[in-house]
Amino acid sequence: MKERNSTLKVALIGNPNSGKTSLFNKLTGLHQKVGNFPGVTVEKKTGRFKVNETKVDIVDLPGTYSLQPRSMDEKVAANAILEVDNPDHPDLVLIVVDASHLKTSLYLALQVLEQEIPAILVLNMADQLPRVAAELDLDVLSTELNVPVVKTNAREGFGIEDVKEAIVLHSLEAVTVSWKEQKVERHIIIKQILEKAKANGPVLAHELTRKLDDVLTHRIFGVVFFLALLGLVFQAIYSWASYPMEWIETLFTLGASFFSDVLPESFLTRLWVEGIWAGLGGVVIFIPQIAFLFLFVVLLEESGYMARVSFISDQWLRKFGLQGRSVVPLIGGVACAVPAILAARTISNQKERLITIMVTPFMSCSARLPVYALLIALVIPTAFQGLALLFMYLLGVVASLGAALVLNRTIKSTEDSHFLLELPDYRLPKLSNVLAEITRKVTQFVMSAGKIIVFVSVLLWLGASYGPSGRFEAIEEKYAELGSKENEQKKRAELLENSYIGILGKSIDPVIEPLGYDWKIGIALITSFAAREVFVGTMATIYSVGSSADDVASVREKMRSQVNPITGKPLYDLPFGLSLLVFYAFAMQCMSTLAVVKTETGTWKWPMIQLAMMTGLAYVSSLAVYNLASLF
Amino acid sequence: MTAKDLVLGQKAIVSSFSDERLASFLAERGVVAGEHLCVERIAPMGDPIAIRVSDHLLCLRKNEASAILVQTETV
Repeated sequence: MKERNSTLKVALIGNPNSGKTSLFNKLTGLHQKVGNFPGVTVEKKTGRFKVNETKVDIVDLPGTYSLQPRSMDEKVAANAILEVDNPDHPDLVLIVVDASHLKTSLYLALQVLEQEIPAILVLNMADQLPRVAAELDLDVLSTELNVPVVKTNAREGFGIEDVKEAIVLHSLEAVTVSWKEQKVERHIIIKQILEKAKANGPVLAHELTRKLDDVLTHRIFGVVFFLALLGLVFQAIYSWASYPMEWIETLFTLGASFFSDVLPESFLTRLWVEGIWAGLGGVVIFIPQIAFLFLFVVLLEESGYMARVSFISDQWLRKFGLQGRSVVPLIGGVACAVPAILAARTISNQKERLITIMVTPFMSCSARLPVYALLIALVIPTAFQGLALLFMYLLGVVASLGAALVLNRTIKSTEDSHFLLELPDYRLPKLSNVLAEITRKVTQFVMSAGKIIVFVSVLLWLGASYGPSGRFEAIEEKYAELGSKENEQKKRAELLENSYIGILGKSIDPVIEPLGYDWKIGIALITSFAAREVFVGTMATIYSVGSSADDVASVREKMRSQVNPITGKPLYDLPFGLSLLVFYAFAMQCMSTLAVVKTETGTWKWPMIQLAMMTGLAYVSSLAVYNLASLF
Repeated sequence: MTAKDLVLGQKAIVSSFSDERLASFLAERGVVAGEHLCVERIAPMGDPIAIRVSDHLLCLRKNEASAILVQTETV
C-alpha cells in the first residue's frame, strides 16, 4: 500500500452554534492544543488524528456567517479560506452546517464552495432532520452542490468515522461550482437547490424551546430566573470552591515543609520553596474558582441560555457602553477577574469587549474579602460590620458601571455596534463537551497567567529576603544570642523592614502619608501588588504574630493596640480604616489580572491604563475619604 | 413600514432594506427580500426583539429592525 508521508491540512468552518466544536472534539479526542492565530488574540484550536496511514492536522476556525468578515474572529476564518498562501489555508475544508438551519447555513457553505478547494459538507445535528426536513434527499443535495455530503450527530459521536473516511477519500478532489457564472443571488440558488432536494418546507419552531422561552424571556419570570441563577453561580464560586481551595492550600503548605525538610539549606532551596513553589501555589489555588465559573459559562453556552441572558439585559447595559454579553464577565468578577476577563471573548464588538475587560476588575473579587474582613473588624462597630461588607460589594458594582460610562465616552470606535444574535434551540449540555471545554480553559489560564505570577513572586521574594549589604548581618548578629520564639518573630519583622521591599515601603511613605498610612502599610501595599490577599500575611509578618492567614484575629488585636506617638490615640482609627478599605476596593493590585488583560488585548497599553485608572481613582478616593472622615 | 413597527406575534414579508451594509449582514443570517418573518419575543425593556425568519430565531435591536422594510401579511 502506498504510504503518504505528508500531512493533510483540514479546516473546520461553520456558523456559530453549528456544532463545529463538538465535531472537532470528537475528531481529535485529546490530541488538541490551543494557541492564537498569528498577530491576533483570536483563539486557535488545532488538533491531529490519523486515518489509516494519513496524518491529518485540523484547525477549528472561528464561527462565522460569511467570508465577508466583520469581527476579528471572522477575519481569521475568512482569510484562512480566501488566501492561498495563508499558513492555515487548508488542503480540504469541512463545511459544518446545522441540519435544523439548513437554509441559513448554506449561505456560508456556498461562499466556501465557490473557492473551489476540496470540500466536504458535514450535515451536523442530523437527528433534527425528521423534524425540519423529513424528505431531504441527500444525493440530490450532494449532486446540486457538487460536494460530498456526510450526515453526523457530533454530540452523540454519530458519523465521525464517515467524516474521517470522506476526508481521505476526497482530499484531492477540487470542487467546481456551476452557479458561479450565473448572475443569481445565493439565496435564489439555495432556494432552488432545497426545492430539488425536497427540503423547502417551512421549518417549525422547536417546541421545547418555545415553551422554555415563554418563561425564560418573560418580562418578570425571565429576570427573576436570571437573578436566581446568578445567586447560584455566586454561591458555587464563593463557598463550594472553598473546599478544594483549602485542600490545595494544605497540599502546598505540606509540600513547602516537605521540601524544606528534605532539601539541603541553600539559596536554591529557598528560591524554590519560598519563591517558585509559593508562587505556583498562588496560581493553582485559583483553579477551583476558575473551573466553577467556567462550568457555568460553558453550561450556559452549551444549553443555549446564554443568548437569552444577552437578549434580556442588552438594553440596560448598552447605556454603559457594555452589552448583553458583558453580564457573565461582570458577575464572574466577583469571584476572580482572571477567568471573568477570559469570558469576555464572547463579545464580538471590540469596544464593548474592551470596556468589559477594563471594568471587570472593579467588581469586588474574592481576594479582597480577607482584607475587607480585617479592616472592617478593626474600625467598624460590630452592629454595622455586615452592612459595611455589603456596601463594599455595591461600591465595586458602582465603580464598575461608572468607569464603563467614562470609557464609553473616551474610547473611539469605528466598528458598528450590532447586536444580531441567533437564539439557538435549547439543548441538554453534553458532559464530555463541558469537561473538555473546562479543561482547555483552565490549562490556558494556568499557562498564561502562571508564568507571570511565578516571576513576580520570585521578584517579591528576592526583594523581601535581601537588603543592602551589612544590614541583614547586623540584625542576625543582634538576635544571635536571643533564641526565643518571640525574638525570632521580632527578628523577621526587622529583617523585612530592612529588606529592599522594606526600604521601598519607607520610600513611598510621603506618597501614602496623606492617605493616613504609615510605612508598614506601605510595605503591605507593595507586596499585595502581586495579589491583594497578601496584605493580611504581610501585616502578620510586620507585627510579628506569625505569618499564616489564620491569624487574622491576632493581627487585628495587634493593629488595634498601636498608638499614634504624636496624638496618643489609636494609630489605626476610623479615617485610616475607611481610607484603606476604599483603596483596596478600587486599586489595581493583581498581577494575574494585568497579565491576562495583556494577553487578551494583545498589548501592554490597556493593562497600563487600567492600572493608572484604578489606582488613580483609589488614591483620590482614599484621600477624600480620609480627610472627610478626619473632620469628625 | 419597518420590522420595528411590528407588534408581538405579527407576521410580515421582507420587501427591502434601507441600510445597505446592514442588509448584507442580515442576508448572511437568512433575512432577504421575500422571506416571511414574525416578531416572536420582545425583551423585558422593549428592546431588542427576536424575530423568527428563514429557519431560525434571530435577535436584533430595534434600530437594526428599522432598516428592514416589510409588508404585513393579509390573512
